[in-house]
Amino acid sequence: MAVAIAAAGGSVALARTNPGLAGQPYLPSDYQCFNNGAGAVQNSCANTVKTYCMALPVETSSHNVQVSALSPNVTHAIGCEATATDRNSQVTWHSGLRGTPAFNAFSVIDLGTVSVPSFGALFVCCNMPDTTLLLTVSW
Amino acid sequence: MFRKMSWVLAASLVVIAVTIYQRQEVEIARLQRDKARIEVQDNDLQTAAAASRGPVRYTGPTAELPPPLVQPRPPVDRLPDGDDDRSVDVERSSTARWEAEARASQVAVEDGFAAEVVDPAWAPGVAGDLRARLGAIVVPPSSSLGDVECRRSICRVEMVARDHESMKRFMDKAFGVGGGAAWTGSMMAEYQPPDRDGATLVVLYLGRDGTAFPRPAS
Repeated sequence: MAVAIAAAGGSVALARTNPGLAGQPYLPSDYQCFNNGAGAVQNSCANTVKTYCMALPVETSSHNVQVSALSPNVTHAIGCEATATDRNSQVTWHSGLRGTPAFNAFSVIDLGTVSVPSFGALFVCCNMPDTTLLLTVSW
Repeated sequence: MFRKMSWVLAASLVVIAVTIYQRQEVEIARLQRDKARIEVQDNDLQTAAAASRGPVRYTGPTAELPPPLVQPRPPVDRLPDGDDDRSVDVERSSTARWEAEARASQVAVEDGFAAEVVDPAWAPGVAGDLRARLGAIVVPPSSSLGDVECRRSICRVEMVARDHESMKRFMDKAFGVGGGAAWTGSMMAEYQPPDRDGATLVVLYLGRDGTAFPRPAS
């Protein structure tokens, strides 16, 4: 996990990055569809769209969530969303579903800044058609 | 003749027995000396081992040693008075900062919505569409839809849930993982404390596609 320090608006925020394989399928029965390669994960089940999620541990409120991914083409386009919850698992912030800005090339999906309530949780989920790749998640 | 031979035989046996006894005495004495020597060596080894467990001292020029990367923390029983209190203060302070940041983000969105003017080309149509979509998700009487108001880039929606389960069901269907049915843009939810009947008012702020929620001024 890479740790970088970014200063913004007078406050210092820690940015962390996880490889794709740090997550898990939304449905445990979908594990067989995901292959690992150099830390990236790929949906290898033909003609399917599988949801893959990753918990993002936080100790502060504001986080800019970015997903590095590859969508082969418009019919195989990955879409991701970041969600924050309070400590009772009630959804408090949602980034909205966003896709890669380019196809057939590594690109970054910027999910914007998500605010996490104190002692809340943050996670990201991606809808992955077959052959799409999820490389890293930064927050 | 026979008696004389008997005496000779008996004397020989006595001599042999005495000789054997003397040899055994010598052997016992030798074994005792060996035992004493081994005990002395064992004591020496234990003393040396105890000495080697002590701190290894660097005897070279200390001025050339680089400073340690991580300063060793003093043992807990040597912490000065008040140090424990300070760590608790740091924890409280970071929690308070986290809460303040989260609240500032909420206020920025609330104020942003309040400051917006209505975009007549966008707001009425989206508000009607939202009312229809969210209206299809609420399940009266356990949940009900209140005001739905859109302005330029943010919509504000009120929803009342009679219990935790109905609220969770509504949020999952509207904004759940994998893309909820109600909104594709960003969303912020504020939960009011339950009233006397256990009903909870949820205020939702929904951001227009392609726009970001206002952020607190730095």
